[in-house]
Amino acid sequence: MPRITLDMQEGFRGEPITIRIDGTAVYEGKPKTRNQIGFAESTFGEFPGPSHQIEVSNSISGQKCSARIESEQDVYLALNSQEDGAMHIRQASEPFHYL
Amino acid sequence: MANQKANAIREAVSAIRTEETESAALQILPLPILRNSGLYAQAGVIKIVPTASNKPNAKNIENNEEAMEWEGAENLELPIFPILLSSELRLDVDGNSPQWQASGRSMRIGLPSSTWVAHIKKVAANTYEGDIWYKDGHLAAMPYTHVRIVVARTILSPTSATVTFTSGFTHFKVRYAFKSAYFHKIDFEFDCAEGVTPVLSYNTGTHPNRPATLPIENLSVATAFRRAGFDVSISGAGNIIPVGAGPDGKWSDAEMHDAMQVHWSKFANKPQWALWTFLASLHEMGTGLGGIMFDDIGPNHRQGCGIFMDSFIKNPPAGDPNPAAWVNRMKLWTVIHEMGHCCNLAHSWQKSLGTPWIPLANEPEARSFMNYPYNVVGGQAAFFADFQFRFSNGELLFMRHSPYHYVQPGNAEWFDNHGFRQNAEALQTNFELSLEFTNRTQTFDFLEPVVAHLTLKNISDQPQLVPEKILGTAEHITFIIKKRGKEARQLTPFAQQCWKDDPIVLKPNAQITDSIFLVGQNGWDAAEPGVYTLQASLEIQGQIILSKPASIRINSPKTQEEERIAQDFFSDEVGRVMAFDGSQFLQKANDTLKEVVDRLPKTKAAIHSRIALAARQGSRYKLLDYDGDTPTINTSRASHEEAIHMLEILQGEKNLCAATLGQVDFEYYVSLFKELSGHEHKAAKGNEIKVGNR
Repeated sequence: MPRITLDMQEGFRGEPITIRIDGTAVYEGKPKTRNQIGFAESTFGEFPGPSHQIEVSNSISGQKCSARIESEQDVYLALNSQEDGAMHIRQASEPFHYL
Repeated sequence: MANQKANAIREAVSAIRTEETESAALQILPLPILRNSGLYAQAGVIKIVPTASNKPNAKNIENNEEAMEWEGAENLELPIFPILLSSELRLDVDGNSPQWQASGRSMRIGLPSSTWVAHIKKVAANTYEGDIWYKDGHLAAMPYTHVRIVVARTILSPTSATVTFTSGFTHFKVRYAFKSAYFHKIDFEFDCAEGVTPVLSYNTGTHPNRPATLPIENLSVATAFRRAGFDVSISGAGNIIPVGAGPDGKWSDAEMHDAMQVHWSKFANKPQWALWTFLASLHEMGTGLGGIMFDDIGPNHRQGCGIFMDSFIKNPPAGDPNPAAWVNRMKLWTVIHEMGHCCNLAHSWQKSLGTPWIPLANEPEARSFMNYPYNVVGGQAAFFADFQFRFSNGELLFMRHSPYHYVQPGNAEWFDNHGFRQNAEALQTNFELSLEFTNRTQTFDFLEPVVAHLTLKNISDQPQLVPEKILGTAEHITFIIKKRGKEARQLTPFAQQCWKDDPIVLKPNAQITDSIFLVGQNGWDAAEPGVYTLQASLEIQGQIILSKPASIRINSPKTQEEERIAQDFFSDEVGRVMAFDGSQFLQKANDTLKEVVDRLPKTKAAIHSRIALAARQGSRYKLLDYDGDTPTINTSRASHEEAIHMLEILQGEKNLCAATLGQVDFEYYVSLFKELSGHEHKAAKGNEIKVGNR
């Protein structure tokens, strides 16, 4: 079963974030980015099938973003929040690294 | 095996230390040859003596008379504030990655240091010129907009730099002595966790993927920072730290912080130009974290960082032509990257975040120690193909020229003002601060207490919010008093009043005024006969504004009686009694005031003495006393009759009283007098009168 790992990276300031994969909430929390490594928190889950819907929402700003991923392998996702609050998801085939 | 590892860190540190010794030797020859860049400094106390017209025309430099000279221009109304403790110039025009900037920092008594940065160009041999584009700190003390720098040198090295600051028609000239080819000193200490192999240097020729222009050399951490402008020293021998982390040998930030406090020979809870680098196996986050500036803990951030040698940085890309060299390069890069964070450098793609020192653009493609190699277009291979083993120009500008506390480890908080905060250059202010005296002639009789009136006026065309008590709090006000020919002194009030900062609206052209009694913990700052220059500064809306300097004259004693009483009058106790409008505890002071009233009845000093005595007599007074070890509060009754007697002079000598007390205080005491009289008239039914402080 492919594993989906989602790293919350830049731009999180403690606002409540909910992450759903295929409708199931896998994360509810208030991530805060540590600027020295550009990383806040990580969450993961294992889901059957190659196709998955990722949905992220910020209940304070009302900002939302979503992505559809197609993969039979493990997937690594990076979630970033821009200064205007807009969020976007980036997909990679390898774990993200931090320094 | 363990011994081998122990030797490895000691050998690595020893190698850098050897390099340090060689570098020190190179300071003399040949590094500064044909180079003018570096630190120029002056140390010592510089006293600027204003003339009667408040223009500085004399100078006196203690400690280092040769190092710095001052030349005031004819029309320059230099504030009396710049009593410099030290001043530095950083000239950045040649050597490694010159930024074509000059910057300076001055430290002054009782005021924040000020920093300026100018973009300069060469206009003649050893001569540079340009506009100041950044200022920070005590802005009013640095009103200049342009600098011209002339370097004097021997064939071997610069010897001094003379900087002419100009603003409009005024100029100001300072000469600094050459101190160092570097901009800041910094000390590094490296320790290693048990079982970890350190990497503190790398031969730049060992990996084939590199810029064709990259010099082939053995590059150490210390060399990289020296090229950034730091005079690097190495402390400690390179200790092996027993694995004190969790059972899995992974380190948390808190554990590394603890280790730093125990093992770093220079650890102190204070800002210092020093940092600790710890080489460990893994962070508790796992192999995905290559290093971290862990010290955002406690009040002194950025003192230490950890590098995780068994993290992803030990894994070369598949098919790399020289995997061992790739790993060594990546490890050295990571060490320097984390130490860069200790100097408050953000990642290349974060430059615009937070509160940068100047508006900065992100540099996501920068070939810098502060960018992630694998995040640029083309990935790590593209990064290292162009990487010259250096920080970006913006990062060099920050580390060399920004206000030092933004960079110094343990000083500004992490990510606070990284790369400089928002431009603080705005010299336009919404306010005007003026200083006047109760005595409009600004000539005071001997023994006459000096009371200044400070007025803050809104000179903008918009209403401004100001804290209601801003003029009454020492927190916001600095008051300097300088007797001609003597050192300047800062007024230190007997009491610090803390007010809630309730704002009031000050409409355009509206003003608020408060009075300042020029006696404090330093004693009677304006007592001896002579000419004094006084100036106030006020911190408001993030700016410091200065009043114009004002001069007063204290006349000589007219009689021997005045001279005799002065010995008792100019005491700390009398000062306190007058500042607090009376005391029933400081009896000796009260006796002195009575003596002034009795023996010098026609003097202005007698008027002030009467006020202080009346204020005490006219109110019920609580006195803390001790019955053995038991504290008791005794309350004395007010004596309205005596108070009224003391205040009758307010009616008899109206003009004289108003002149010496000032109109505001005069009216206040007249109302007090009337209130007391009214009470007395009503047969002293309730005998409490509330008396305010000056």
